[in-house]
Amino acid sequence: MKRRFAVSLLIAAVALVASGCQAVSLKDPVTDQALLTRDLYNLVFAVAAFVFILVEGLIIWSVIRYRRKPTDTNLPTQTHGNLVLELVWTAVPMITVFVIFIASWNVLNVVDARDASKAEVKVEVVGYQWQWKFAYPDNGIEIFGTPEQYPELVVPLGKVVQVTLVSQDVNHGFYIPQFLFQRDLVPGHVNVFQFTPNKLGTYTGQCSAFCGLLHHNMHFTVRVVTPEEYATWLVDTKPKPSPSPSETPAESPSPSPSAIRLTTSAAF
Amino acid sequence: MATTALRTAARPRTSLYEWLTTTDHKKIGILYTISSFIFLGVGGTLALFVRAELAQPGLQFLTESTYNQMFTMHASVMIFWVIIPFLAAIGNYVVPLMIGAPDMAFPRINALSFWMVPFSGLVAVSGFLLGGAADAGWTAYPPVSSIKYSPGPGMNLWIVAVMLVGTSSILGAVNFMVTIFRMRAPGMTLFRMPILTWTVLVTSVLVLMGTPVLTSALVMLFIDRNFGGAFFDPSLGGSAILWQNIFWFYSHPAVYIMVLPAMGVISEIIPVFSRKPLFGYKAFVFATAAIGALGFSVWAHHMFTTGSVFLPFFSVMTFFIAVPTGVKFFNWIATMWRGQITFKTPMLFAVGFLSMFLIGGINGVFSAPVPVDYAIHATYWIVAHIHYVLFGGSFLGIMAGIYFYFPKMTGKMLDERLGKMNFALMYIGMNLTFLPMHVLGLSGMPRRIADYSPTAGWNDLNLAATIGGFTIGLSMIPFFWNVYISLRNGEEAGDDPWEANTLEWATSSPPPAWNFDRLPAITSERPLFDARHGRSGKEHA
Repeated sequence: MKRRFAVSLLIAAVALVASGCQAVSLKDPVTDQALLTRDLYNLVFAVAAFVFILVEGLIIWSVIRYRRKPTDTNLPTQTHGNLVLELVWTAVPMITVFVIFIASWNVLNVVDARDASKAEVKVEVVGYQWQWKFAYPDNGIEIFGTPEQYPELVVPLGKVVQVTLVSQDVNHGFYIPQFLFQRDLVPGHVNVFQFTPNKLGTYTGQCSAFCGLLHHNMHFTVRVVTPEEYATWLVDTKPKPSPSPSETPAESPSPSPSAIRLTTSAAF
Repeated sequence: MATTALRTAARPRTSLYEWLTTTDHKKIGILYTISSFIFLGVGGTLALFVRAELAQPGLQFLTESTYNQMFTMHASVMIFWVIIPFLAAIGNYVVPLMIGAPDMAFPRINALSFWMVPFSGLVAVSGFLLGGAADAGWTAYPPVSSIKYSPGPGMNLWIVAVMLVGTSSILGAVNFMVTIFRMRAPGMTLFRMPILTWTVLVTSVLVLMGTPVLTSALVMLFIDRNFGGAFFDPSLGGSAILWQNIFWFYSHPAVYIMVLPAMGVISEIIPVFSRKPLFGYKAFVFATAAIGALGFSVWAHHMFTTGSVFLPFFSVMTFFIAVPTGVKFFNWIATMWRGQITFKTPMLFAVGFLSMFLIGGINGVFSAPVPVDYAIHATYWIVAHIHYVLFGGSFLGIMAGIYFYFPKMTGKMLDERLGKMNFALMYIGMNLTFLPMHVLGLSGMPRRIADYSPTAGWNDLNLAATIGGFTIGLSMIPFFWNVYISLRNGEEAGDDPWEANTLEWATSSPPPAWNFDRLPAITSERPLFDARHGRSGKEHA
């Protein structure tokens, strides 16, 4: 009876830990860079979990094992310290964090790599209270978001996309959870980053830097499409002045997700 | 014991006038405590409004504007008018007693420091009645905090109030430093000082180095807002990033300002209730100093995502600052190891501090590896982190200190049963509130949003956090009831109800205005222990 209780308790604990681990993992990464970030997170998490269980375990053990008993009339041994022990528990964490730092530095050099010559798609993101403008300067495309219709950034799978971030008024944060990435838009300061999407799909994003009244309403999406779809999308989305009626493909799956409103920059 | 009774009878009745004009560090300590509890009520109510609004998607109770004011003022009130003054309360009451001094070095400046706190706090919250409180977050990043984007009076009031409370901190820091350096009793060498005194000393150094820098930023922001300055206005050649650098140069050390004295409190309580000396006293002092020094080299980890800081340096320093804190954990555990632990309420809160602040330390390390920070920055993960540090660490430490020193302050014991109820409810409540926030952060919920999409998958965890928040609020009821009944007919405390180690327990409870009639010999960091048992055990390492 007692044993069955213990077993079911154990099963419950395992289930709890398993679901807990599920819950505390990052979102599925969808860029090459994010894969590395996820691995780094998992490394940090593994070390953190070990430290947590070790220290919390020591605390729990101490408070259970060393409770004062009625027979404890004499003082316990008055230990004031132990130099060797103290050096060890200073040095070991020091080395541990330094190793993680080296690992994180390596990942950072990839995540933060910016080589303009490698950029295959260039987009400009402008943040303003309280929406976004996504522009493709090479193609003359500008997409303005509205509170009713969040803007969508369309990028081709497997290509290096370079994002230039500009703020028109206050700080904003360009944050896509599944990219495991965010970068601030700071007025007076242009930020650039690159990413390589590696999974088709539509991913939500949101402003992460508090920007005033309707901060919570600055949503957007990023849609990763195949390079062919991307080419079609570019043609379809390009403003009217340059129609290329010769070969508008009939099977084009009408990609323009009416999230797009075309205006001129005079809208500012 | 007999002297206590005699003195209580002989003491003149304390009139309101006496409390308002007192320069006695003990009364000022109690005034700080009362003021902090009042602002705790304000900051807590604001937090519950925020949690009520976030319980489900959609805007039910607040508008975006009031929501923004409330989360801004919740953080500001809790940091500047609750946690920092609470620690000043404990420091004020206990430090002169601990080092065998009759009072602080500058009693009148001490009174000035105190009165600036409630006054500035009223200035800050008065915005709610004057057309809108500050609404740019407690970090007040320009341009959101500029006159253009936050035109209401709240922001100006906030700047003035934080400047005032900062000045109060600076005065207090000078006072503590002079008191600790100049007024120690004969025999109380630096390395015989109680750890709490050490942490107050290091905190004072941090305040003295950091707060004037914050004040300079506030002055610049005030000029920008009201006199056409452009320090932080990029459209006129200023720099918005400049604010972040100056602000965090103070505000990161401010986290240590808010947690070091709490660590000090814990380091007094754990040895007493384990009947052992603190393991590695000197290592603990050096770790405290190391945290203080390293604390000024990590500020830009709040700015990794701005793309304008030198990442490797701040990353590696952020990793390293975890080490001295880790060392302290081992010291605390080794102190309990093979001890004889009794679980009175102060010890419960101290162990609560250990188990919760551990989480606040570990989930903070996730921000040190920059790419991981890119993924979790400005999400609810950070909200979880700061609350495990400031609630699980600072506030549980403060509660431990209040339960520990209440008998000294009032001469009465608090009720143990109500104390344990307080602890249990608060412990459950805080984990129910802040644990789910890790998951919310990882699943992409940004902080500081008034509303979220019902399809984002954040509903259940937000509801859990809200229930937890109200549980924390509920947990304070047994506490206040406990204070009320214990003051009226609590058990007499006597001079030293806990069999403690340090000088504050060598005098009556409450102590006379002049603190001590006589002091025991001070030949170690545990003079009372020595008086009780003689020096046993070998010299500490």
